Amino acid sequence: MPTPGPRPRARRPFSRLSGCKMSAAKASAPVDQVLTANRLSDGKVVFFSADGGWDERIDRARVVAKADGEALMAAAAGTVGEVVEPYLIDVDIVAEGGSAGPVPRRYRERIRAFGPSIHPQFAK
Amino acid sequence: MYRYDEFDHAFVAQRVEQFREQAARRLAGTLSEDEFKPHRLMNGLYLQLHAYMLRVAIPYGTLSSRQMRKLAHIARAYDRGYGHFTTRQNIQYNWPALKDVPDILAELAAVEMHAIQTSGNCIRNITADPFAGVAADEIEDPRIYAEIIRQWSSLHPEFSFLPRKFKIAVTGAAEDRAAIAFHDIGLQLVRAEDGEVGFAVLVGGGQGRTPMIAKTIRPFLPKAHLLSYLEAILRVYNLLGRRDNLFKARIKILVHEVGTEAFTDMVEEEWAQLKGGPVELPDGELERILAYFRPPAYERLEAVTPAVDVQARADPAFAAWVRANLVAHKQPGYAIVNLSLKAEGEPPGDATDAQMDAIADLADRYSLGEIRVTHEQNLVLPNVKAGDLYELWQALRPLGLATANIGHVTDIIACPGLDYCSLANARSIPIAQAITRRFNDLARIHDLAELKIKISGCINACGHHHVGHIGILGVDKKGEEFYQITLGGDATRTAAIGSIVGPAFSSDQVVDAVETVVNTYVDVRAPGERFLDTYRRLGPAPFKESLYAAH
Repeated sequence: MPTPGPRPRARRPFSRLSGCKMSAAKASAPVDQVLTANRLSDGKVVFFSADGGWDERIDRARVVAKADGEALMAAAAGTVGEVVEPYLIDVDIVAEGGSAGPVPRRYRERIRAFGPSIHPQFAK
Repeated sequence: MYRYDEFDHAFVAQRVEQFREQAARRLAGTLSEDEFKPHRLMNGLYLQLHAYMLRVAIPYGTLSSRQMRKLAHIARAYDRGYGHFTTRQNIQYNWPALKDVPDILAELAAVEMHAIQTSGNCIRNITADPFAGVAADEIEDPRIYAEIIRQWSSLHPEFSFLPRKFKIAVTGAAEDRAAIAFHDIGLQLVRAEDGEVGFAVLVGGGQGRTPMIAKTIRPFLPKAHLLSYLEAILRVYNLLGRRDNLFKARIKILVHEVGTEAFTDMVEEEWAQLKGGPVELPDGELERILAYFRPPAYERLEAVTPAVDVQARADPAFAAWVRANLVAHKQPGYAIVNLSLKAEGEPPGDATDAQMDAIADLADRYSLGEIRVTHEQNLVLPNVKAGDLYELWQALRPLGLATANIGHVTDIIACPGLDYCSLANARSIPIAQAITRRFNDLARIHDLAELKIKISGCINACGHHHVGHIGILGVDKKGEEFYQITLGGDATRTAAIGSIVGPAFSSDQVVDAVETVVNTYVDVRAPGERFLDTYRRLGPAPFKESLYAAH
């Protein structure tokens, strides 16, 4: 049982969201951003991709330095009709493993990017 | 049950075609999201974390087998093979595509269902005692009045843009199974000393960030004046409800701020203008609606079915299910059967398309074609002959629908939480799943007697954590999921709002913490005491001690 005072940092018991993705989130690391939204036609989570379209996979997202976030928004301006409510999220770049690529810093965005933690069959 | 008349059919069909056109214009880009959003919300279509979410109304939680089959078909054909039954007796689909939604609404209309007023600042689906019409402890079937309120409130022009959403629940029974004290309006059918049946009217209950227990503003309202009195309450709220602050816009805040007495006076004054006027139910209308809710053709059976006792003696697992999941029926020889949607490791309230189809078949075979949805996220076969129980139970087991845990520690209410919901701060379902895995021994579950755990993923309290005997609220603490525990909540006639027991727990501590609370109860309970009784007798001290004392 917990003792008074600072609590130990939570270890996430849910495999899809744990492991290297979590340990990658370091406040001191340089912050990158990707642009995300929900696709208009089916509501699916999408990311503005390297090839200028919208893609369901975050590992194909165009990654920019935080300072260039607004420019990324501008680059996507011609395609925002395909999506709903685009916004920028902070990511860390994970180099190793099967989940190499951008990983959102906030767990809300990790769940959006990788699918509901309770349905591994819907994971992306 | 109620059947649509020509007006209902035409109206719902018209709405489907209107939405078809609106969706087509949105997909073509001629409507912006800002323009389209109010239209989709008026048809129950939200945009959630991963996809659109369609919330379909199940008026007062009553479904025919034909409707259940349609819900299964929609889950299979347009979604990902499951649906989620909610605390408002509705069903939600988590993955529909916008382009398919007009077709889904057309499919629903074919079985007299829709998604109108399942969102927005209007009067939402009217909920009721899930055992309405069959409960042994009932004065009258509350669905008759729920249906009258549904018809009155559907597209009511004056009440389509209220300060905030508005939820009404009705019960006709002595025991409150509809959480009426936690609704904007709660109605309870009561019998006066002279034998006349009317309503006790409760106003201003709710959960969310400011939980309130409803106040009784009228202990007895004659049935004939139901609509004029509701109209008076809604008018006072519509005029005075806070439109300047989203968090203070519900009627509970108004009642709290002006005081129950002053609020009651305002309602009574407004009612004096409306009473006996055109809003009152026309002659013959009550009888017309009542005819739809006449009891089905029950067989005349013996009250006691010895075969059930014999089967129960022979099969302890069946006996446990009979003990936990059955409720007394008003008709001799029949039983109300709860189907638990809280099997070990499953998301509370979820049912697959195959389960829904099977339940529809079982309803036809064993329950006169009828199914109910409970606000505790389970399903009910309301009309089962006692002699059929053993056979039904055997059919339910392979479907994962025979978990003998109704009202027990694993019969958990949980909101969708951060796995689906864009408002959530933390996940709810994985905590519920972990608790059902921790408490997976039936003897232990039953030894813990009645124990209700309710989990919300944010302060909006869709998972009813305020009224959980043990409530769990997910919070975001510096980017991590933490869970606050409340104790002593109660959604029934002895309504109470739970109190926070102490600092929150991390996601990998919270199940241990729940088990500590449960074990503490076992250690300190008096013989025959439920968790709530023990908590009320001893207060939070022993639980705080075991949770937080330094070891």
